[in-house]
Amino acid sequence: MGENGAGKTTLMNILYGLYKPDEGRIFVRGHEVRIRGPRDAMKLGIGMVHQHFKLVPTLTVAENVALGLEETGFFLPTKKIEKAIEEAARRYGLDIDPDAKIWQLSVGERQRVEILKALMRDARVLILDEPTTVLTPGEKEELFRILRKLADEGRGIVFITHKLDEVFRIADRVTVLRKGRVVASGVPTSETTPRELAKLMVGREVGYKLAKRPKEPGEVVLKVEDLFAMDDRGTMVVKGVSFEVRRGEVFGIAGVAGNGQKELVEAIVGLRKPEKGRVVIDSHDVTGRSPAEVLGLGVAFIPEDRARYGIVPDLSVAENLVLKAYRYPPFSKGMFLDVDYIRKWSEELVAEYRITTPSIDTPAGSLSGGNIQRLILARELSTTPRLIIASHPTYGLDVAATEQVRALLLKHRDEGAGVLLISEDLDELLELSDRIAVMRDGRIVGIMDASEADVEEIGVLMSGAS
Amino acid sequence: MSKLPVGYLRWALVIALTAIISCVGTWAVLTYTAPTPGPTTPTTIHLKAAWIYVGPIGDYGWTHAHDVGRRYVDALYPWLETYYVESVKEANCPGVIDQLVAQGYTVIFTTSFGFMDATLDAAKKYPNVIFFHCSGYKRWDNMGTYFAEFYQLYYLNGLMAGALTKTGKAGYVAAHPIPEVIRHINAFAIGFAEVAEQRYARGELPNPPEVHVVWIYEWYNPAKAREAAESLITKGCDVLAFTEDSPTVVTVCEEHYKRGEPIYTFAHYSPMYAYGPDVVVSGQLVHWEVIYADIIAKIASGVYTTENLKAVDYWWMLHEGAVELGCNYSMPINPKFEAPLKSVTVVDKLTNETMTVYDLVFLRLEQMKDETPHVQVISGGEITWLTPNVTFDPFMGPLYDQDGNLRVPAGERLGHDELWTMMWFVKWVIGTIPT
Amino acid sequence: MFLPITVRVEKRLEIPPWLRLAVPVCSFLVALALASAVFAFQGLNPLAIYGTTFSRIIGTRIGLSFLVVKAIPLLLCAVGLVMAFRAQVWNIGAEGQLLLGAVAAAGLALFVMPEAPSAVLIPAMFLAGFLAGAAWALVPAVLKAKLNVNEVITTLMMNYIAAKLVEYLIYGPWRGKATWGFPFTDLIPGNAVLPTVPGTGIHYPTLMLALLSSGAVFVLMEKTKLGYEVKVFGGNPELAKAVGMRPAKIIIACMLVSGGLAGLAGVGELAGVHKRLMYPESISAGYGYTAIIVAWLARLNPLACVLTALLMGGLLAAGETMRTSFSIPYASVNVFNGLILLCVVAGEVMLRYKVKLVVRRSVGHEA
Repeated sequence: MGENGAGKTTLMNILYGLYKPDEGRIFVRGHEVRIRGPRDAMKLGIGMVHQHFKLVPTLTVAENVALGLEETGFFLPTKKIEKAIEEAARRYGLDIDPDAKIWQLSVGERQRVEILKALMRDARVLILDEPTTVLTPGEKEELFRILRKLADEGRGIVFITHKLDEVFRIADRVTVLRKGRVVASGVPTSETTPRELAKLMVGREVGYKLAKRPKEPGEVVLKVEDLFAMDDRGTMVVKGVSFEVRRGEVFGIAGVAGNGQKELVEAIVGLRKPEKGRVVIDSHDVTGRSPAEVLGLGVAFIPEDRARYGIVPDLSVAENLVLKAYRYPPFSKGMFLDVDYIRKWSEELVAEYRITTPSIDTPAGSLSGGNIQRLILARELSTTPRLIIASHPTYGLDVAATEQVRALLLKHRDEGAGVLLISEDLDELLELSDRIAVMRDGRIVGIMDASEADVEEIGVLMSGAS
Repeated sequence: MSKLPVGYLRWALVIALTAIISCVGTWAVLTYTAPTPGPTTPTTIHLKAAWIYVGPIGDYGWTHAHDVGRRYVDALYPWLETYYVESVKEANCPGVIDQLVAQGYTVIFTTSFGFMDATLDAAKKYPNVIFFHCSGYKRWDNMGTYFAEFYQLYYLNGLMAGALTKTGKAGYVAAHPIPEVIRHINAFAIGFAEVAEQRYARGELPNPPEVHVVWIYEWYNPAKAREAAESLITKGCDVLAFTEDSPTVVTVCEEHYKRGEPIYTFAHYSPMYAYGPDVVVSGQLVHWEVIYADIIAKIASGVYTTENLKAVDYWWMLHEGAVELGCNYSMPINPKFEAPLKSVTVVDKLTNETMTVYDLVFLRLEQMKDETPHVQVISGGEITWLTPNVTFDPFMGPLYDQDGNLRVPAGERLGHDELWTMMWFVKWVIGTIPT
Repeated sequence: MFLPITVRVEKRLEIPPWLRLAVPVCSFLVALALASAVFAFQGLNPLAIYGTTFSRIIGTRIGLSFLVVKAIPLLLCAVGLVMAFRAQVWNIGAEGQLLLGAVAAAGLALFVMPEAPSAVLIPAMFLAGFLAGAAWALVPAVLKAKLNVNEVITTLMMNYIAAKLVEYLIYGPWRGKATWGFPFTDLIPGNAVLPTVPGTGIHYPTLMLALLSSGAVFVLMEKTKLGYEVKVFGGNPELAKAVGMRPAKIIIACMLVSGGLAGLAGVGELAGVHKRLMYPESISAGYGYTAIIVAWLARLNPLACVLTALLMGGLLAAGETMRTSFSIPYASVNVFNGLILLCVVAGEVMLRYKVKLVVRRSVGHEA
């Protein structure tokens, strides 16, 4: 385990042959080996589930799995693969339609395909890079069960995470990385504590609980009425959702990935046409309006898919920061941008939001995940929004960045913004939200005050068990 | 283990580059042997002439034929030094001329119509250099023009086509709708109709003669030529002539012949007998060397100077030996077709004598070889063309156009200028000229 | 025992400025070294070829003139393409847009206002050329913006249509009266002919327009809202839409500028070089396509296009000079040009990656 940027992924990519080590040696089952590429790694029985999915979006699940198999010839043996997938899916509890195209799947579903791919190669050593981030609690349990089974069969599992609870939940031994160095090596989990590991990981004590002022809810800023929306495949996945978000409150939506949250958010901000229902922001009916119109009403949007809706990777940090503001004075006058003002303002934001970047001219795409999220927050929140729609805002972030993001959301709530928070991290929801709704199968199945809610009750609602 | 970076990219590159360049350079210098100056010719004349070609010399058509001519004069005159630049885009012509002049070439041949304006500009810019432009009409004090004309050959090909057709329909795969090509189509149609009308009258053909034209708008495009040839065959044409710088049409005909469907054709510009020995009847061959030898000799002997070329225009044909009838050099008619051509008889419209088509072809060939049909008269530095009385020329009246208008009354014939600007089809042609 | 040196390849985070110049220059030298082998095999002295070619291009008015004349249309087309490419709008149609510019200029000079004085006629021709090129680009732009029709296909098809249009005009209604039936328009009147730098073929009005457009597009891209929108749209169209940019406006604006500048190139070729409308492949020696390479070599920077256009003009001039000075076959010249482009493009890798030589030293035992 280790924070973002500690070198976990790099280290694992070396093991998988994606990067070449400058020096040092790798031993597999006692023999020194040279791994020149993933093919070598696979031959040595090393399998990997990447954090960023290596899937071809336009191909089906079956075709993607087939592409990863060694014996795949010129023609893809899709029929055979489909059978195997269905069987593996039954065995591991990974429910996936082999004919679905990858681009139609949610982030969580895509990860399932990745895990499936590695499992189907029958790896002796399985590396999982932050595999649980997008899994639902149920899926997570399922995965842990499988990993335990695989470990018991005599396979080695390298499980990369920055979540303390997962370490204690699944790992036998833990190695902690900080800034590319090992700060604790192979410590049995039974001999350490979460506090100790957290300290090792960040190098300082972490304040766990955020101070949260009692809520002072004001007028309704977002009203969703009986909203219906379809996913990319044309299946109705949002089925009559209604709720209100008031100023000065955080309204959390809990739910397992793929239960319509993504489509719900997209329908609210205008990225997706609702089939039915109404979305009202302040007193404006924005149903079916363009994202520009919605966001123009003082809505900050922190998207789930940061690469797609968050930044322009090739453009500089400054150019990304000014994305929402460029149109208005003092950022531009007439048809011209005020480049000097934008630069000065960007420098300030970079400092204020603690974005770690060589300069404001650095391409945003070369920043780390945490800093990309800081950049997005800086842009979205610097305009004092009335409504913040935050989708998985701390997904994949390290402890420090997570803390910062959560504090920012609360700060804006305290300043009177309404916050719609979609997350799969129950701890986060409980910590930040004033009210929590649970979404399952496209419907809100329960709304409760956060002070009265507990994890078990929410878990029951999410899973549909009763 | 510790690492010691000894250098970055720049050093690696510098080292690699120095190594490569010095190795290759040394080797190149070592292997290069400077040309030893040959024995100097005792003659005082020394002429440097350069040719600018629009296509590659391997095109087996226009440029190839010009280069054959260049090589011929290069070998013929020991005091002549020749040079060529191939595949010159028209936009690059001025620059190429500049550079050739800078290198001391004093005679420059430009062999594409598109080079005309550039050549004229250069002629004005370099008054001490002699220019000859092929196929154009602009001349200057130091710029002459030349062309080897095929219409007589197309007429003779037409006679043979008229004897060989069974459908009465001939086809013509035509490059660009310009007077030169239109003239050739008409000449072919006149020859074709001369025989086919008589055969139709005798009931040997199902319909009166027709010559179908398909434009491909390219001088060289085998794919389009093939398409055009196939479409003409589909229309029922069983004899094809063409203006395109590849043997494609010959190949197409040979393919049909092999499938038991005889379609006959005529070689264009180069000997194409080898591409279709079963289907090539005859054709049009050029001898640019005849013109080049004449021009070079006249420059060397001082007949042509940088001041008197405004009235120098070659329009050479059979009489001068600049063109030859045949599908191979010295093979005016493919032997395979001698018997078929001898089996069809016609009445010579000049003498009302009955003879075989084979004999008629050679009679006409001799008639046209004996006399030049167009004569230049130069007065005041301007060229005027006369049409002397000749025994025979294809464009003798009466000739009607497609609309039935009498274009050339009986007893008259078309002169140089009318042929040069010809923008109408004779009545047997099926097709339109875009305007 | 291995050589104790290994090569390390690392991705660069920042590209030092000196490298941006050094890498292409080195690539160029490598290409010369490689090409010299080709020439040496043909029994030619490569050093003599390079020396002569270089001195004849850079050292003579003729050579320089050739180079600049080629660079003018390349620069105009490339600068326009930069704008489109930055928006990820793949305009392959500069060739056709150039032809339309030439058509407009010819029409104006021959039929609309042949009597107008140069001071009126020449600016009018450039204006008409810009509008015609832009209009030609507008068709695929609207198709892409409104119906999401792939612009690669449509712009390419528009090139063929443009060529056919030129052919129609020169064979049909515009066929000159003084051309003996040949498919060309008459020469444009003298007052429509662009002035040239004395002793050269450099039609400087177009050159100045080209340089101006390079600066103007740079300002447009870096200092204006539109340029910013183009960059955002090119980098992430979905995000651009999400923040309220109008893709249709961006696509159309890029294509209009792109097509208009290509149209200007067409005016320059017509009024500065050919002085009449003729076969499409004569009017443009594939400038619209070569400009794509020019734009990419400049890494889509409009100012750098000036350098790359001159480089490409130099390459074309070098090719012709080699052919006219030495008996080098056309194919070898193509090999030479190809090698240079290949090496320069391959050298781009060096910009993005760092190659380090690392000496390994074993600690404590044998040397």
